[in-house]
Amino acid sequence: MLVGGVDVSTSHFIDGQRVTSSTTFEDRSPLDWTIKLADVARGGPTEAHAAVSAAVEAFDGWAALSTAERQAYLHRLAELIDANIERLATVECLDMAMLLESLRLRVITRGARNFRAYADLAVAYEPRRWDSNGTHNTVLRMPAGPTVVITPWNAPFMLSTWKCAPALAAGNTVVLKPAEWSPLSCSLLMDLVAESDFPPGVFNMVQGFGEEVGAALVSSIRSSHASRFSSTSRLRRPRSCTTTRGRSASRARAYSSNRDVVRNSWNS
Amino acid sequence: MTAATARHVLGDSRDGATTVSPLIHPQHLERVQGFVERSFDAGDQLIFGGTRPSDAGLWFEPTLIEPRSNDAEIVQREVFGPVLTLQTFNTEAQAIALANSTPYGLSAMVFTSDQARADRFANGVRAGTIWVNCFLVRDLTAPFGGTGISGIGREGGDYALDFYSDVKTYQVKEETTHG
Repeated sequence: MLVGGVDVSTSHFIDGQRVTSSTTFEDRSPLDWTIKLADVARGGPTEAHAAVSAAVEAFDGWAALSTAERQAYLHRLAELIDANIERLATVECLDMAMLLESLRLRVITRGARNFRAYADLAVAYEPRRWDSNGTHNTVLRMPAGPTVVITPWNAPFMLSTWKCAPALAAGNTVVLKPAEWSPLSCSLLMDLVAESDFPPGVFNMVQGFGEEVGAALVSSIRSSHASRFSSTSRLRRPRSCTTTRGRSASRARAYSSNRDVVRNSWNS
Repeated sequence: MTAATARHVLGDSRDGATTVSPLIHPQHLERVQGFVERSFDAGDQLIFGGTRPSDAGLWFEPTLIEPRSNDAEIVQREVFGPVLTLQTFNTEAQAIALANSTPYGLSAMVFTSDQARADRFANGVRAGTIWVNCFLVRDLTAPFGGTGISGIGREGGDYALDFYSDVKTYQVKEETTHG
């Protein structure tokens, strides 16, 4: 699909592949609501399950890399973001109407900075080491597990990179679901993920509505963690980082009524 | 404040002269408009704006409202649109009390040339970030997040890496004698 002259995939990105759905949803431009930008794949439980399965499969390999090895992937992605500022800014502007000049000068490159900053911080991390009561002690960080990241429409590209970068740098695999009001810049991001040669399943993206694919993602990642626990005695508590705006707020509260940890932060 | 509000230029986001973009979606426009209409109906004073410039687009005029009381919905709820409320105060304590009177607490700004006053404000206001004489200056290593219903926990720097990690305490006995 051409959006402002830029070729944008309307499909999901699961396990390193573009995946379509049987139904779509309309994406319109706030600059002129009569203009339909794209019919975007409308994910549901099937796509959610496939994406979470891919993230679970890829987890052990990604978590086993050193922070410096993951830094190389994340820096490569940052370089590609900076090389594609015009395309990303053009599409984001049409899709959610942020000022084009702000996108060009600051907001898109902030996405690159997000990946660099968190990759570098993970490398620089110095575990606390001390002696007490006759033992040498260290506090180690373990990747928390496959992660679902649901992001809002008020700065789709910047906030999605802001949430996903630390998750990836910390050794987690990610399923990103951008807001259905502004789905396109995250699809371009997945092109750059593919170009960066990330291992398949490390960074996935599904499109669709919160009530449909978002709810299915949260439930799917929860049950996948639970089954790992029962079969292998390794519990990885699911992390769902939900950010919401406007009408999505009720969904976040629905999620947070569940037993597991759901963090709800409102901006960045 | 009115003059500054009036200087804004509504337009196409690709136009360099534009300072105010359209809202994201008709449903969101309806929500913002609903807040302003209810505020007006309830007797708050509309100082500037308050309407859609045309039925064709998703723009909403930058709007300045002086509420009839601090309990007004337009003060207490998050509009998330180009709408500002204006309230006056006589003392620093009153200003801090007003700032702390909503269930939200993402960030707060104070404009002052008095460092001691800025420090008192920063200590007194419950918010995730306090900006003095500036807005939205971000250091990616600094914590970011809100108090109250503006968020749970913090992101930014090691706060985000800790959020996405489980920490493990590893203890090794000195001079282990067996194994």
